[in-house]
Amino acid sequence: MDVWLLLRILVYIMGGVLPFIYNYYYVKRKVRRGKSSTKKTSEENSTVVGDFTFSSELRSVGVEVENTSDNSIEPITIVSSTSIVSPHAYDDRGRGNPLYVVLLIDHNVMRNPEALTKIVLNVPKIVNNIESKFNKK
Amino acid sequence: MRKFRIVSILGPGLISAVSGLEITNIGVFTYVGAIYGFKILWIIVLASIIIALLQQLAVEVGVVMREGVIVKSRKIFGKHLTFTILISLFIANVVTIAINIIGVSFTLNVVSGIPWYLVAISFSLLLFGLALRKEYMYLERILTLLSFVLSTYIVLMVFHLISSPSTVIELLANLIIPPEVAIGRQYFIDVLAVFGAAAAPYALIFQTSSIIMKGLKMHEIPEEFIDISVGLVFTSLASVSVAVVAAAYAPENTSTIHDMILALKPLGIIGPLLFCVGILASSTLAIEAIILCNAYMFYEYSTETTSLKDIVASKLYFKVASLTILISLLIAFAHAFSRNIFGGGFADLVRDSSILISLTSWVPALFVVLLYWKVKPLASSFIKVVSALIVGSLIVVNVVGVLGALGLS
Repeated sequence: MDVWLLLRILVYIMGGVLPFIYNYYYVKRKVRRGKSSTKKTSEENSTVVGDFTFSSELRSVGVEVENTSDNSIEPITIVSSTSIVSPHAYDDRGRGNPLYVVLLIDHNVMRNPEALTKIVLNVPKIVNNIESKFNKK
Repeated sequence: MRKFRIVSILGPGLISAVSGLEITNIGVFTYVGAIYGFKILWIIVLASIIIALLQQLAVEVGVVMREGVIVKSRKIFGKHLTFTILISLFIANVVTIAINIIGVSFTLNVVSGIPWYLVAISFSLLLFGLALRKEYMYLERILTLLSFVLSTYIVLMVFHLISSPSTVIELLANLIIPPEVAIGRQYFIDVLAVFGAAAAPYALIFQTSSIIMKGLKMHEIPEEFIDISVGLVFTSLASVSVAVVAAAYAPENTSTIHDMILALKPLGIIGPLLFCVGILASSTLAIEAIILCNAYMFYEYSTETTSLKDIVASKLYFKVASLTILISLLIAFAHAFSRNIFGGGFADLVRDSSILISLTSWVPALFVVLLYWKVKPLASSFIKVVSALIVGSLIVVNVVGVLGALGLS
């Protein structure tokens, strides 16, 4: 076999055709993987939110917020962080690990000290509620 | 619906590839096609693939870094080193414009008999006027359609292959398996000229900036890559068709514009006319894009921002546009007169200029590859190594080719 011909073919394929095609599929795979992991995380979060219905928990606290311009926006929402669904919060390393709760507080509540105090005071109650649901599970 | 989608992708791809055929490409591909025949085709395809790969890397750099190559280089490699990219690109750009001015002038001279220097001056004034108009969308469309007449090369290639079916196998064999050529100083020089003709150094910088301006997201990169692939297929087709037509119809010792026009002789009297219209339109489009790119590069360097709207409205645009056209015109005259004194045809001029463009092209290519090495989420180790090897070997080929051109090796 002609070595010089092999070298030319090698240059043609390795120096142009293969990297070009490989890079396309490599990036496509990376981007897809990134997309699916984002989708998975959001699905996991929505499951948790669906299971524990945080919003209704909070509604039961009975905080009334005045001057809420948009009624579709709830005054307070707990968004599950990945800590809730990830094992380190309650599984492998025991239930003694802290459970992270993120409070998203509407600016109308922030301007209303009375409502804000009520929410903050009720946080332990909400957390206890969630923890008891975890324990039951 | 799917058919329409394919047409919507392929249509603009074909038009932009054909309108991208300006006098530098046509000159070099005709010259090498006439000398080497089908044996040079794989080099043309390889050069196009390498350029497309570098474009892919430029897209990734743009999406991940969210900063133009010049801004990023300035931050990473410093002001002085980045300035070398600017200067090298500026040189490549003004040389490209100068060749286009000479090409258009000589073509009109051959076809109509008007003295070339009068055409050169009038054409430069026209370019300046167009550059100052800033927005010329309708004119751009008309020019793109006019430059599409250069698809004549593809039509002629198809006719040639139909008329002698045995050449189809020969063509495919030469495209797939790189044929053997006696490698010497001249071959190196000609390969370098092919790379120079295929490379559009300004496009590499512009690619990253346009990605940032478009606000391309990570998940949209594969679609952008498909656009690049479509562009690659059509650019290769258009380039190969010029070389095939030259191999079939042009005189073996092609050296003048007249010899290049002779490649279209099967079209009879329409051939020169189509060549003239196509070259005038595609050169105008290319030059306007290069002027914008020149202004854009200096704007990005001085302001560290990536916005095309700002640059067109700035004073810098006027200064750079006038300086670019003036220097290009001077180079065009210097080239033409030196050829009169020292001899050599238009083909030599285009070849030498393409070598210079090739030499300056690899500076921005090197910077894109260096920046790619820092693109963490998307960079693959294989591509990192391969791209470094490609740019490294091209630098070596450039050095050897230039030494050869100067008669030093």
